This record gives sequence, C-alpha cells and structure tokens, in this order.
Amino acid sequence: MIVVVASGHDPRARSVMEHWGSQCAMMLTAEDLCMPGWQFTAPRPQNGMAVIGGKIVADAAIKGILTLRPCIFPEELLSIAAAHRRYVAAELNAFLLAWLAAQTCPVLNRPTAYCLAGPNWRAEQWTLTAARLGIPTQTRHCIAGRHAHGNFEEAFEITAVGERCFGCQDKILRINTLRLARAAGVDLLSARFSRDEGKFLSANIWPQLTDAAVAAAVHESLANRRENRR
Amino acid sequence: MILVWSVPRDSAASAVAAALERWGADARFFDQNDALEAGLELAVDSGVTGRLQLPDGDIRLEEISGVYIRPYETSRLQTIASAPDHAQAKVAALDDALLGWSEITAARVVNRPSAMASNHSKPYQSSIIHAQGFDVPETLVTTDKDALEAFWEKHQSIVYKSISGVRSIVTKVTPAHRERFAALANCPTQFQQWIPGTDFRAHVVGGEVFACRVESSATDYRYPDREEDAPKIQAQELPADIAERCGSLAASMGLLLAGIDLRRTPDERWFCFEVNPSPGFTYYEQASGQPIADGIARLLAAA
Repeated sequence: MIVVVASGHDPRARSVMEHWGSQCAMMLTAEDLCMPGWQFTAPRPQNGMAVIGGKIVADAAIKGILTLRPCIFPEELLSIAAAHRRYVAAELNAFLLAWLAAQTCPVLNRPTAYCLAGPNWRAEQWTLTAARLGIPTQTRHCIAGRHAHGNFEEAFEITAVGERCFGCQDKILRINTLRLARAAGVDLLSARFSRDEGKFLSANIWPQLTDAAVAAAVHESLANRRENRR
Repeated sequence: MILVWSVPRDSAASAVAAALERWGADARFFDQNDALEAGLELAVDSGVTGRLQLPDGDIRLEEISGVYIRPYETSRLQTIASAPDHAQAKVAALDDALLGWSEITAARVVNRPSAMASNHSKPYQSSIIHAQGFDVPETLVTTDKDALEAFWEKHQSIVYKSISGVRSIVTKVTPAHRERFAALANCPTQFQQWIPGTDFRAHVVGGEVFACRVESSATDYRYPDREEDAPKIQAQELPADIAERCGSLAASMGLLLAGIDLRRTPDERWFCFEVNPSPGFTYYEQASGQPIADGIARLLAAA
C-alpha cells in the first residue's frame, strides 16, 4: 500500500491518486489520527498499527509514503471542541512526525523536526544554499512585512524525483536541481531557473504532481524500493 | 556585537544580558515589546547582510557575531495584542523574518530554530537520544485502549504526558483513569514505563556541562503536590562518561545550549527523558549556584 499524507480537501492529493488509478494508494488524513487503532512504540518501533482511510493497517503493510502537508492545522480539526483544537493539533503533529520518521519504507520527503514533508526552507535559505553550491543566483532582498516580489519571470522548471529529472531538458539545470535536492536531503523537489541566464529563482518541496510522468516516477520511487534510513 | 532577542521579564534572557554586561561585551537587547517600532531588511546571495532597525538605533546584521534567542509569541504581548491588525501582521512578519535570519546567519546562534524543533515531538526526540547511547523509557503512543492495557500490564507502573512540546504534568496512571480510556480514541496519547531513581538536570553550554541533582518524591518534581515534595537542588558532577554523552547528545542535535533531563536508577542506569533546547536555567542556577548565564555569555562573546 502507498500512503498519501494529506488533507482530504487537497486537490493535489486527489489528483495524484487519480493518476495512480487502481494501484493501491490510501490517504491518511487528520481524521484518521483521531480514530482508535493506532499503536506506536519507541524507541524501538515494532508491530506498529496505523489507521489509514478509516481502516486499521499494520505499518509493515505500507510500501511507501508521500507527504503533501507541512503540518496539521487546528482549524481543520472540526470534530474536536474548538477550545482543544490547538492542543490536539500540536499532539497530532508531534505524533505524526515521530511515526513518519520511524517508518522504514521510502518516504517522500522524509520529515524534519519542523515540517512533516522535509526541510520547509524559506526562500532566503534556498538562495543561500544555491549560491554556496556555486549555482548562479540573484541576490534576494527581503523587507519584513513587505511582500517579496515573486519571481514571475519566464522560468524553466525542473522536478527531481530521486535521481530522475522532469521538465526542462537543460543538462546543467538538471544537475543543479539534483545538487540542491541533495543539499536539502530530499528526494522530491522542483526548482525554477531564469530563462535568460539560468539563475536559480526558487525551489519547492511540494512540486506539482499533475504531470503523468512525474506522478508515475513518484509511484515507482515509493513502490519499488525498500529502505531503512531510521 | 551580541544580540539578545526576548522580553525583559524573561529571567533567562535577562540573566544572559546581565552576564554579557558583566563581561563588558558589546550587546544589544531587542525587547519584543518594541516590535511595533522595529524592522528588518535582508539581502541574501552567498552571504547574509542587512539591518535590524530598533527604536534605539539600527544594527548591521553582518556585525552581529552572537545571538541568544528566547522569543515569546509576540501576538500575546500586551503592547502588541492591543495594536491594530495591520500592525500585528507587520510584527508577525518581523518575527518570521528574524527567525529566518537566525537560521542562516553566520553568527553563533543559541540556538538555531531548526535545531530546537525536535523538542516539539518527545517520541521523535527520544529516538535521537537513544541513538546517542542513553537509555530512554519504553514508550507507547496509542488510540487503542487494549494496547494501553497490555502496555500497563507489561510495565506495571506507567505515566502519561504530552507528545508535543506543550508543557504537561507527568502523571502516574491509576485504576481510576480507566473510565477515561475510551477518550483515547479522540487523540493519540503518550504513555511511558515509570523509571524509579534520582533526577539530574545537566545544562550543556558549548563544551561545558553544569549538572545538578534534584531530590523530590513527586512524580514530576516541577509540580510537587505537597510541600515536603518540593525539589531540593544541588550541584553535582556527573560521571565523566555521562557528562561526555550529554555533550555529544547536544552536539548531535546542533544545540550549543541544552537542558538535559536525566534519571539515575538504583542499578546505575542513566535514562534521558528530554533535551530542552531553550532551558529556563535560572531556576537551577539560583538553587545550585552554578554560573550558567556566565557560561552562555562566554560562549556568545567568544564567537
């Protein structure tokens, strides 16, 4: 089973699951976390049980996990009394982080302590990382409280899934995307580069998965590889 | 220059600021109560430059060599909470930008936000602690009351506490709790085997370890039920290998300052419960007489 960690209202999650069609994928929502059946032991996870799509499943039955959310927000916990939502959201996030980090199957992207879906870096940190890798960048200016100018210029976009790249065919830009992904410790990343000079513009750990080839590569990456990075 | 970012009523931040003054360090205190009049400009390429605008004058970011951060939720400060919505939004953006800067600045930051984040999930953090060689209590997080009954049966004596960084009182599970087991289904809850023994608190400050012993018969010494359970705290050196392990643990988490909660069992095993990345160390400093704030000031001044 492939698990997609997302909100039930997330069209990206529904879209990617539609791409996968009859291949076995289930969505893990915040509602699932508030259902009986979860069993997670630490520091040595064993015989863990999860609740996915309302059904109790063994952790061992999960072949791969795609995480499409940074966290669970208090506002989405409609079944929890309003006064308790903030506390419950903190508890659910803490639990989901520990659970995701403990899974031995492929997880795209593996969680970090501050984001369920990997390093949720600010634009400035991506720029600094790119520049220090020697990737051409534009100086990024930020004034607190003032909206940064979006990089709306014409751009090449490349999506990396593991070691594979999709989108623009430029070899150097593809290599630079993979270098950024490695530096950030992620297997799933999209990066944008200016069309004129190939300068790095932005990166995103939640790429669009509407492209059938990207969705298929993500599925393949999750379904066909066992790993143990705990 | 050293920047302290907090509010004056925070005892830890004030203690560090006072120690910096004693050491004659060039230091500035960014009082979050002044956030309405503050601003931040950043420029990032292969380096990080810019300026922090404060009511008592600007600071060039590249001149900051050390930072001690202990920010409060600015929106809860009275001066900010009473401001118009647009002003509150500006302050929230400043907080975010300053946190972002503290993540990427070349200055020595005590501690970087990303390094502190593991404290938001106790079972996640416990896997890191365990990997560094400390014993950690067997833990069950569950929404299943049968699983809880089995865990209780196995360990005989268990406690429950929050999973997240939200402060909770560690409480022993008793038969009276059984009537609440059905509510487990609403939210995963964390249970741990009860570990008997003596508590220790170790503050790692750079390469130094300040440890103290905490004597209390309370389940959670921070919240004694009776006066006679009030904790008695005194400085005590840790065995060399345990002190070294504390230093390694903090370093592995990227923490320059950490408050580590330990318990030594009667059979001399050392359990580690938690690593606090922003410890309110003054409570222990006052009781033990250990110069922790001075240690932090030295660490910052040496950057």
